[in-house]
Amino acid sequence: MNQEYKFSFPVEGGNFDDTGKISIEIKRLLKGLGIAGDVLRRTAIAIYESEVNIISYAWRGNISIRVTDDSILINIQDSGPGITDIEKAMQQGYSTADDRIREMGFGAGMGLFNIKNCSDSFEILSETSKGTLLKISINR
Amino acid sequence: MLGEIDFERQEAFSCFEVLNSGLFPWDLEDVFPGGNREMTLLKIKELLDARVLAGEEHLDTEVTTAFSADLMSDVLAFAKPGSIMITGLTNPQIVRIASIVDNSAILIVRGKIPPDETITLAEELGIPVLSTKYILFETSGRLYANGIVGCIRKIEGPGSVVPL
Repeated sequence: MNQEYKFSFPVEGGNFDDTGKISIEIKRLLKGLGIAGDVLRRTAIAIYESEVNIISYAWRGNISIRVTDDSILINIQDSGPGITDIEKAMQQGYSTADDRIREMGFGAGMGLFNIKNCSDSFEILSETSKGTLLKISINR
Repeated sequence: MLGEIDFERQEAFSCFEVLNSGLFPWDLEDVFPGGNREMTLLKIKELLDARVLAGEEHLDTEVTTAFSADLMSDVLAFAKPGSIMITGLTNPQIVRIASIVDNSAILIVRGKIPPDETITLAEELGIPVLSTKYILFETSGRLYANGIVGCIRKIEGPGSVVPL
């Protein structure tokens, strides 16, 4: 059976109150497609951290998901300031977060590291003053 | 070192002597591998004199593991499904995080009462919320002493994250 599902959600930068809403909705949809256990958890965690990143740092962004028979492919794209030093941003504990982000319990420099840790493949591209593209996949 | 403690004698021993006597467990995980199967949200509520703010109907849920943090990224990294989240934060994000990692409940410490949005969301997503006046350290210690164990014991290697 070669079935494929695709869906996409816009994320608004700076909308702190709704942080996590989209991730919860995506988790519900994936559950409905029969994805469960560790795969569902890792996907949901990676998406949550990505949603936090867009809301915290970008102007606007998009989370799109493609579910195939053997993997979940997630593209997280944003228009925003971009990441000047990706190597540094990937390090645990490095963060440029402000108080607003820290009050929510984020901004400790764990986000990208957590996302990478949940993924089976991880690619990040960023251009200063334009935005960031994160391409990850999780094997089913 | 003490061979045996004679309680009749009511002699005073130092904590160190008692713990080293081998009669009391240093490590609760040796006594309750994977956590005490008899612990429920109701027992946690009683132990910590906690108020139930949401999910009263789920108090019979068994809880064997916990993760204490005020840093939600750490909860995302380390919390196990079914564990109780112990935190001093009260914003609605804690409920969404709990739903993502499948926490069995949220236990808010230091007597904080969350805003209505947090409670409404918790009812909506079916996640029980309790609030205790004990501080994070006391709360964690009291639960550990009753056989609730951590989601992980320590970080492997030089500050790396344990694979999920």
